[in-house]
Amino acid sequence: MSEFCLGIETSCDETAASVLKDQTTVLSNIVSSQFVHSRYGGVVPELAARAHIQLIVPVTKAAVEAAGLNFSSLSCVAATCAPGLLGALLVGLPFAKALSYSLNIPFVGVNHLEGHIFALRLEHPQLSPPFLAAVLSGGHTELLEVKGWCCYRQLGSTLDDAAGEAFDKVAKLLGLPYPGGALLEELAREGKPTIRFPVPLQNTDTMDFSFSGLKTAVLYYRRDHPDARHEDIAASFQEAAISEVTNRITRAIAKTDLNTVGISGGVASNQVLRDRISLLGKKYGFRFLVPRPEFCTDNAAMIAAAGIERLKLFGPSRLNIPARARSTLADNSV
Amino acid sequence: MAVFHTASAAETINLGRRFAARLKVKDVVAFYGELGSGKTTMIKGIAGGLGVNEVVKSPSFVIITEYQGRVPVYHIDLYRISKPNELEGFDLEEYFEAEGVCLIEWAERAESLLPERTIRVRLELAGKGRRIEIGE
Repeated sequence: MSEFCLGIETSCDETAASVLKDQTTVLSNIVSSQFVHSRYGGVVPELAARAHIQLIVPVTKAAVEAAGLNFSSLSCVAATCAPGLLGALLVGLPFAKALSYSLNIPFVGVNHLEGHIFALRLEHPQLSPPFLAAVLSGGHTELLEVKGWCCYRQLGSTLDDAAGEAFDKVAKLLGLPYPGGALLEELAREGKPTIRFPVPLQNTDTMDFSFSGLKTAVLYYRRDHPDARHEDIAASFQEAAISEVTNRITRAIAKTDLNTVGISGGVASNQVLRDRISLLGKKYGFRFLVPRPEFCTDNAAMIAAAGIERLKLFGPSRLNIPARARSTLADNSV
Repeated sequence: MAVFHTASAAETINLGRRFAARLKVKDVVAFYGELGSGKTTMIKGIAGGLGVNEVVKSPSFVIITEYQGRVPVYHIDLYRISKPNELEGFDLEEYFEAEGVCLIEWAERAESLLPERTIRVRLELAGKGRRIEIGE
């Protein structure tokens, strides 16, 4: 008999719900920014727990309806419990717990970062550990060895800004609206990487990341070259940031001997980054995997996917597990 | 008011460490300065000076990060707050009254909420370094 898992994600700005059939068949995947846009005509969700409270019921209902199911056919419910904005987590998590209690089905708490790793499995159902995973988003930059499903070793992390945050902030420095990471990529397409921005932590053997110094380098360059083409600055910044990522992945491959590399998170949608790692894979002989864009950015399908696996491996979570603003996968105890 | 010039990120971190020595529980420090002016860098030093051993990362995305040093350290970043009503639910005032030290980036976005005792730090680019003004 098929399992139908409802996933709920409210760790940051998006209110998201999704229904998964078995391990990898996505029956519905509703994310508030698109949902609100189509239903209420262009209202941008605001950064407030109140927005999640307004959206959680309609978004969840829409996910169950779009899957062609009733609430009574659900077999489990999974929700993000960490890391994220506490006020936001405290909307989706208790909602999911209450739903599980009232429907008398298992509840599973999921780490948001773990969700991003399971996004790879949604796209590539045959994927099995071990593999190297890089989670690159607006709030997170993590390099992990996935030793088994739900079993991780942290290899590196950012020391300051997250990768997506760096893209968004440099976009802002170039006069693009926030969050402008995707717009920066478009702008870069019109330019050439003629400026040599230093690749952070290149002359070390760390697997950590740093983006703050690169942001400052762009700031200085703009001040000292007011006539420089923004397109070229964007292309040059992107080149340095991507080089940093590929450099760390190459280091991690050399140190771990893994032969599969997966990237996810919003930055993983960057086409230049995808092409570059793909080339690297041909050179070093690793398989490169990346989810489609709607599974890269925050979504609930990935939370449901991780939840189903956790339920299988460890059974349901207790209904009293707390929401936590910070949590790494190394100390993953959900 | 005191004015300092730092020539590198390492010097900005050092200044933060020294500044931390004068901080005590319930202090609120507000940081002002453009993107890349060194707010998070200085806060790395302050947190270190307050006994935080973890890597201090930019909290722009998560808005508030709590660290445990000799006292609790609340690192708050209002960069993504564009409208005052978006501050609802973050309970900033509760952090100001908690038994810890509050360090707030982009503090101008919550100016009206800042307590009277707030210490203001302004950072700006100066040559290849930073000019940093620390209030009373």
